Amino acid sequence: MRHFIGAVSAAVAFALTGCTGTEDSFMTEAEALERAEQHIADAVAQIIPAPSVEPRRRLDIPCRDQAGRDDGLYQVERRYWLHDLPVEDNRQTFDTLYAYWTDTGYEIVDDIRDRAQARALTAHSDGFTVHLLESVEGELSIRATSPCIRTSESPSDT
Amino acid sequence: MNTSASNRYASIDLDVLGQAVADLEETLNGLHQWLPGLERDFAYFGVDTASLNRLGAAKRELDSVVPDLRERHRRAEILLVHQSNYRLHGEDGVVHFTGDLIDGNGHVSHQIHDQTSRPPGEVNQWWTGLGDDEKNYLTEYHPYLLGRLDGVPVSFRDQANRAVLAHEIERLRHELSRLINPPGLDTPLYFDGRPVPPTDPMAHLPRLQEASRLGQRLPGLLAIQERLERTDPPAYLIDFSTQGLGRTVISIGNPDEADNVGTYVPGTGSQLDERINTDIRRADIMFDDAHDAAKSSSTAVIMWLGYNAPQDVILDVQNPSHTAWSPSRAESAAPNLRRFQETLRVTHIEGNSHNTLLGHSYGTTVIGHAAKEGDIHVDNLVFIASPGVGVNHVSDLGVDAGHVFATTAHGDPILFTPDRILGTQPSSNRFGLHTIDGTIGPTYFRSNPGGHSSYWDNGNKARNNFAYIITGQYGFVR
Repeated sequence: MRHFIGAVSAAVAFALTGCTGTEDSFMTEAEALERAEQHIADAVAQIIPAPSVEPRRRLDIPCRDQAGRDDGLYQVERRYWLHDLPVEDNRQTFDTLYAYWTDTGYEIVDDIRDRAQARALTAHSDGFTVHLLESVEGELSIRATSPCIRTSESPSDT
Repeated sequence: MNTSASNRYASIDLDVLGQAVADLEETLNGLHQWLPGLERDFAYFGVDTASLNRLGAAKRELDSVVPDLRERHRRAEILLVHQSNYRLHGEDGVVHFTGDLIDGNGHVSHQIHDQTSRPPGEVNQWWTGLGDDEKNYLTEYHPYLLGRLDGVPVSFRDQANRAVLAHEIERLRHELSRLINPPGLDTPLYFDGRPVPPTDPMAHLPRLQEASRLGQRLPGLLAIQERLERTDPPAYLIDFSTQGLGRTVISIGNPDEADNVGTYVPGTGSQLDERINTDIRRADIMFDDAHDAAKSSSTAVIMWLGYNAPQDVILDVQNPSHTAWSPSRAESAAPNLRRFQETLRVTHIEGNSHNTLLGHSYGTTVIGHAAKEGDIHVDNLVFIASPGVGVNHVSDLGVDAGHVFATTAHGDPILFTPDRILGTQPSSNRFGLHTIDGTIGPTYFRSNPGGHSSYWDNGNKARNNFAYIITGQYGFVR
């Protein structure tokens, strides 16, 4: 029993180390934000009629090192509401972005278009993740997130 | 006793006041014993009673003053014990405070000490009966007690705990400085980034270890303060302590006013140090995701680190209860979590909010132990990457099985945890959950493949599912 527990705890401790995010140590914070904005702008440009966009707060996500602890890097994120879109056109908007992202080399990592409400579509490209979401009320939001990079929040010695 | 310019006591030396009260009581007892006889004798012999009348006046004055002083001494003793617990005073036995212990709003200083052992509902009734001045007085002068008093509205606890946090940051900095640069040492060397005496560093090892511990804790306190300073959306510090591994309960949004309230219980490795930043950020993420999923309803998400989480997954044979292989930490935490959820019900301003408890890793074990003991006052339980929740079947939890949800990612090593350690894993078929296909029930929902801490990563479908459960949109969980 003791050997078994020891072996399992060692396996768990070892396996817990494998949970780090994608890292891009050469991208600056400004570049990451610019590219996140560009992913969103490219997507929004496909939507007809053009929506008005309302920026949301920026919420960066801490990345983890090999031991599962914060490594001082962050995934930076930009997030917007998309206003002035008819709710009945939402399915078409999702189909449009699915086609656009597929045609331009994005990898579709989550596709929940086949329901009447609360649809979601997630695509991945060059370490960036772009996510289109429909609220239960029919409002659309879009967010783009960078790989793990050093930001102004990062400690100076990381 | 010292008095301020406004004739209010600023400090009391317990020993001096205690001796004075004892002496005055002895004098008063003497007057009570001898004065009646003297009055009879003076009247019988026709002696001038002017001096005797002065003694009578002194007795009447002492009859009034001594009980007052005795009560002040008793209340000052209570305050001293309280302040000692929080290291708010020195070793001199002098208790410091502003205001008056008996007059004005000071009487609530006594009342608040009686509340700490009462249920949240009774505390809330007491609080509701106080005037605004009294509430403000307690917030200002008793932040350590008020900040942790279940049943007091979140907005007042937040004010009190912000003061406690600021005080603790100052205290920690001062203590750290004292440890690193103790008086009387010559030019320090540097060891592990910190100055140490040039000779015999091993003799100073305990001091350095304590400095290292405080040095790791300070960034956690600063991270909390930094989040509280941001107001979009506002955060509320509901509970806070630096005792032991530390206690932090912080909410994104005000749970007393929100339609939906999620309480996130972190797991192994969480404590009041720099890692608290990640746990708070997860609450922020779930807050935003809930807003994205259901814009018309308001949501608050609480990060509840109201327990001493195990700090290691490696089995410690000498101290098995310190690791995630023992349920003892969860058993200890369960009553606190249940009481906190009851508190959320009590302080919510209008009816009940839609409340969800979400645990990650060992946090699910805490939730399971709290839920199996009876009413946990929530609508949903969510087990994220659970190693076991202290029961072997969903029906053993005190929540309708249709409102129990779980997810564990493919590739998460927590799946290796044997059932015999903490109970059957919710991800096991034996636990009684099933994946949904359009039906609502005890639900095992999806998350992206990944490691043990990947559930809040960008693009992880688990995040949408958290949002749908927190906002009560169960039909969209998948």
